[in-house]
Amino acid sequence: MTNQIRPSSLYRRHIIKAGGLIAASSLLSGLPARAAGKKRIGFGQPDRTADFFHGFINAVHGEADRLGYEVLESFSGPTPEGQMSELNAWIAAGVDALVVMPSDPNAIGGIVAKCKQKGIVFIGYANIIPGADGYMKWDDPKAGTAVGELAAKHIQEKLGGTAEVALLTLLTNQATRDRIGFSRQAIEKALPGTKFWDTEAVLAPEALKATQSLLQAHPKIKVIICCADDGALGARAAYLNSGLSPDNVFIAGFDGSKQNLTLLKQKDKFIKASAALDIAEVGRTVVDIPDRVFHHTGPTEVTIPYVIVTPETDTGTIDGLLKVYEV
Amino acid sequence: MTRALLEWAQRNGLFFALVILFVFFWLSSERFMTTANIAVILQQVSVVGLIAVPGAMLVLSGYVDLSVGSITVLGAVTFGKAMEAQLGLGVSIVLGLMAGTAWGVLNGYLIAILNFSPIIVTLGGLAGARGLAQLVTHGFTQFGFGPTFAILGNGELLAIPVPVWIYAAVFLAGAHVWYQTPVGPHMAAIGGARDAARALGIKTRTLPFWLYVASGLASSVGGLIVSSELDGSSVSTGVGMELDVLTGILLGGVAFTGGRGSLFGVLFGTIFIGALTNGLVQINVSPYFQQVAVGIALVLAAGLDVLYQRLDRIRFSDEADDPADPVPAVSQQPEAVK
Repeated sequence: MTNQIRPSSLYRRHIIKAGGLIAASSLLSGLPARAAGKKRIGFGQPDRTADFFHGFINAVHGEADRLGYEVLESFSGPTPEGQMSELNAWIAAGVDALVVMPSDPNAIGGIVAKCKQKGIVFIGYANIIPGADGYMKWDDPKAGTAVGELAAKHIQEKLGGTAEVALLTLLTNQATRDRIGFSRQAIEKALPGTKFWDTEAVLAPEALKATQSLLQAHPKIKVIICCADDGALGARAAYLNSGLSPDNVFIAGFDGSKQNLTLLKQKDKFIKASAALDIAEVGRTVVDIPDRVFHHTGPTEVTIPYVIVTPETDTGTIDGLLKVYEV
Repeated sequence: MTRALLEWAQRNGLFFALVILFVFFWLSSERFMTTANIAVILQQVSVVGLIAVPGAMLVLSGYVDLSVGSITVLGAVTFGKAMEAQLGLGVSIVLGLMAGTAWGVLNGYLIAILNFSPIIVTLGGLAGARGLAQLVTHGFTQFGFGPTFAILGNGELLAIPVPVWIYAAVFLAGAHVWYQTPVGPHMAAIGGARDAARALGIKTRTLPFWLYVASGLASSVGGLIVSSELDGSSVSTGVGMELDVLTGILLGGVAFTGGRGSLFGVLFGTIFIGALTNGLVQINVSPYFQQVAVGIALVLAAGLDVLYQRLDRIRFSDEADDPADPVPAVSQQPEAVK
């Protein structure tokens, strides 16, 4: 038997070769070309799944165009190691500034030191990073406290002063821990005897399952505080289909997602609050802070406040927050 | 009869782990063992369970599909976009199912026909299908699909949630194929020794191809169920689902190398994970400890299963040594039919 190359394997090799060429040319064409004279900002925010992302990144690029910068977007995914290699690649490529939401804030020191060494401006996004040239973060403790106070008021006014409260959190993130932790503190302060049931769930499908289980065990739960609006939608779906009375249910979340704000505008029976960020303002600040560092103008440490949206909030304010989704 | 029951019990150690788990939570929470909560547990595992049926067949055949979570979201957002475009409920459902099935065809063609690596291709699908879903939707969630579509995820038939009926139908169809048709032993043969299976005339390419198609279809059905439950086709649908499906399959005793496994084991494995998650929430275990508890319980359950298998081998090898025992050793039967 001779060792012949069969036509099928030749065919396969051609396919692989052609595929490789297509992939290589796509990669090359996708590489950001350096715009002449423009400073470059690497924006390490790897969560591209949120429904506000498209409007948010448009706001980032809009501000960059206005001020004359080029912004490189992150595609590293959520793992610290993926983020490290992306940041190292940007440093090697000679970016002028990095704005980074660290996957692990305690493991970013090496990158900050490398930036200092190479004269690259480093800005913490959603975190205060030691040694950084500035930061932007949101006031999660204040928003958590405000949502907790709203929940406590609801319990006092609608539930006779006692209630079982479910808390859906995400433990690996400082922002979500603060949101839920400060909400709990505010409720405990106003109503010391309140019973809490907490579990980990952040996305809608997880929150749906967690709330279904919680409502089976504790059908008296009327107040559910979720660390993100997506989770609040899952909790809402679970309550809606539980057969329990929808009267005086209070579900709250954070972020200001499109569906939650729309439901609040429509005076939904379940979703009663969302601590919303002005996403367009956040997007603009991503470029503004490094610009201020370069030009020594204005504050470089910025805490962006939340807008607490309830069914009573005027529609003009809600529409203003919803504008970022009109893309 | 007693003997057959004993043999079945010894081959299904996970079943007893499941019983122990249920008894533990029953004693810990008065509301765990209620009809309503059992229905909730079954509803919660139904999506992962129905995707695990073709998934287990793939693993039995020596293949794997790591793209199921992303195909789930692709099916969901295709449906959502079609509804947004006002194509009507029926057309939108068909398009959602077609999106997942088409991705299954692509997986099957690349892997089973062109011999690409199953892990690489489906890992590519894991990123690619979710990326496509994000590209199509720009991350926006479509919502408000109306009461008719809500029946799929939230309706009940004879006090049992509709997703549970769908899961039951898929499982029974899968069990029929696995245990009652030549396809079951063929899958085990392909997974155990592909070249030998090919020499015997078994369709070693066509069968895995159709299994990938079935996996894509099942994933998109799962996506539609989740969309119905949430009344929204969120891009967060199906995140991490491939791990849930694979955990159920492997915990159920299907060998990752293929050639051996039981679909009933997969059923027990899937329910085990659902009951564990539900029970931990019910007894209010700290979220900090929940992941640890899940890890410990999974290792204990897998250990119990292995212990049963070893006891099984010891007992039957003793019997084989005993010339007075007229019953042949069960371990001589082909593994796949157990």
